[in-house]
Amino acid sequence: MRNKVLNVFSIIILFVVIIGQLAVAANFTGYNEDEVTKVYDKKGEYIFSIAMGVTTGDRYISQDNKEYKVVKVNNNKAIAEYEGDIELKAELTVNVNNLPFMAVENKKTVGIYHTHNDESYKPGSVSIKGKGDIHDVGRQLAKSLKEKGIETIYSDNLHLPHDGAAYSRSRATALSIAKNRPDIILDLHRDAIPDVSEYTTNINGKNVTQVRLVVGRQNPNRKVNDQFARRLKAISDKVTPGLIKDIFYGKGEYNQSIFPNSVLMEFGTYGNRQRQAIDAANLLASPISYLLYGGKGNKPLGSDVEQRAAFRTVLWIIGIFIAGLFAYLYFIEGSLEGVKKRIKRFFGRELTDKGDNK
Amino acid sequence: MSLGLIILIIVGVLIFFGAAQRVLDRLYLSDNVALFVIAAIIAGSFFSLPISKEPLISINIGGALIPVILVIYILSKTGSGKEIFRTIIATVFTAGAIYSVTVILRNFGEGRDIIDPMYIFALTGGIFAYIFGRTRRGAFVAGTLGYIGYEFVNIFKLITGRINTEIRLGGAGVFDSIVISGIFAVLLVEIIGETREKILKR
Repeated sequence: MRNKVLNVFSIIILFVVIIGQLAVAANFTGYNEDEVTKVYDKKGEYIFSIAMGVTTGDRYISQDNKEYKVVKVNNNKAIAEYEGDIELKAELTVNVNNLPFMAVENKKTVGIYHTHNDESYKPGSVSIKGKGDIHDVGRQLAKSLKEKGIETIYSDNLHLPHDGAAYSRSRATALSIAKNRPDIILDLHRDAIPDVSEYTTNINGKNVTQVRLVVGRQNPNRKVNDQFARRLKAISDKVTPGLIKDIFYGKGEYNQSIFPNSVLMEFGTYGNRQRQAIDAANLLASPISYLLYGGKGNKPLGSDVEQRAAFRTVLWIIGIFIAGLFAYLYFIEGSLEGVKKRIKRFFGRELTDKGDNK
Repeated sequence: MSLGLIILIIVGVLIFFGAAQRVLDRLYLSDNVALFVIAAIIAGSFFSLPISKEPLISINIGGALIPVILVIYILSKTGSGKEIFRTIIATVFTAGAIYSVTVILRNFGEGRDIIDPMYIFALTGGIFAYIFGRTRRGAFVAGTLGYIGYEFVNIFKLITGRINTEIRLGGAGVFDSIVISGIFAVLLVEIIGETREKILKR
């Protein structure tokens, strides 16, 4: 009898969990690409828009290096708290006149792919059944990087439909690029906010799209990816000022756990012209080149900053793993003694007679 | 690549494989077989069998073929027709749930979710397997086949010309949603099961 009651009880709990999940997600069911989240500061001043879900805890670094943290989200409006001005690493004093040193024996490699292949620009359909305009943007970036002596792995693999499992499908692509051990992996997109002016700037007399960097908060590589994004922005701010629009730290994984130094890029929005995005891709090759090889007074990627971030993350992962395991065992056993016994039993079994199945 | 990054990758992979080994252990495979299966999944991750070239459909050995063989093996060991039936029902529900989640919530996975979709797929498999079968084996089967079932819908759409895409079933190998769903579904049942036993004991 007690067993039956418990069964019913656990099933109800499970349903509550799954319905709860769906209910929160259902806030977004009305979402389509034309809908955006607008983010304001506490005084009600507009900061930015993004065609992506914004959740509490998300972070944002604006073009003028002001850092914000999202504290409240209400439908398509979010409130972010100003956390102060940040100074992007002072070590990044790039001498623009001094072209990066490209040692042949120190060949660098950049991986490029598109999770959302359909993404295109106006005029014409902004979502194509197949390889959209974004593919040309990716190819241009690959071409410009090659001209600077950087190897590129460009993948035009399709991952359609553009649904919730698109990132699951593009995982295979990210992994196949990662197998070739590139230095960085970029997933190129275009945003879907309606205001084109927010994503357009003029560099060297040309109207080009700006580029937003998106770092996923939900993965173990986030600290390394964060450093990467900040360094790229710092360098771009000197080499091609205005090209990098901002950095958004969203709740998501974006396949960035596959490989450290992965970042998602939004090249303008659908209202921009494809030409503007292609020109932006061409410009971006310069800061990427500086980032990989290091300019005068600028250390190349892979230096101490990245090392420290990686080591810190390793310690965090091990710490969380041990704490989680301990909490689980304590819950099961109900006492510290029980946990000790269980750990002893586990090590005795695993290290002496190789398991319990014999 | 710097030393820090290499260690970061190794630690992540070790923890994941450790969990995977414990999970296979729970599926009544002996330690040696469990290790062999993991080795086969990792090695198989590097190879894909082409099914069709135009449109491209391929199946990865480590990410899809070995998990499916494992599923067949586990089902054959199950013996009870009732358990197999329940497992099939759980699989169908899981595939349906994954399809609904990805289609209704079109931009699911772009930061609008509480947890990453990959874990949602696993969670769904675990939950349905638990409701219908309440066994670890059932959870593994539903988690693994559920995601494949969802991709079969896309394969059908692709073949009938409704979408233009390429399907790499299990293409991410050991890191594919198929493998991760199977493993997480079992871990979920494990946690729920242990918790229930704990409550029952009181």
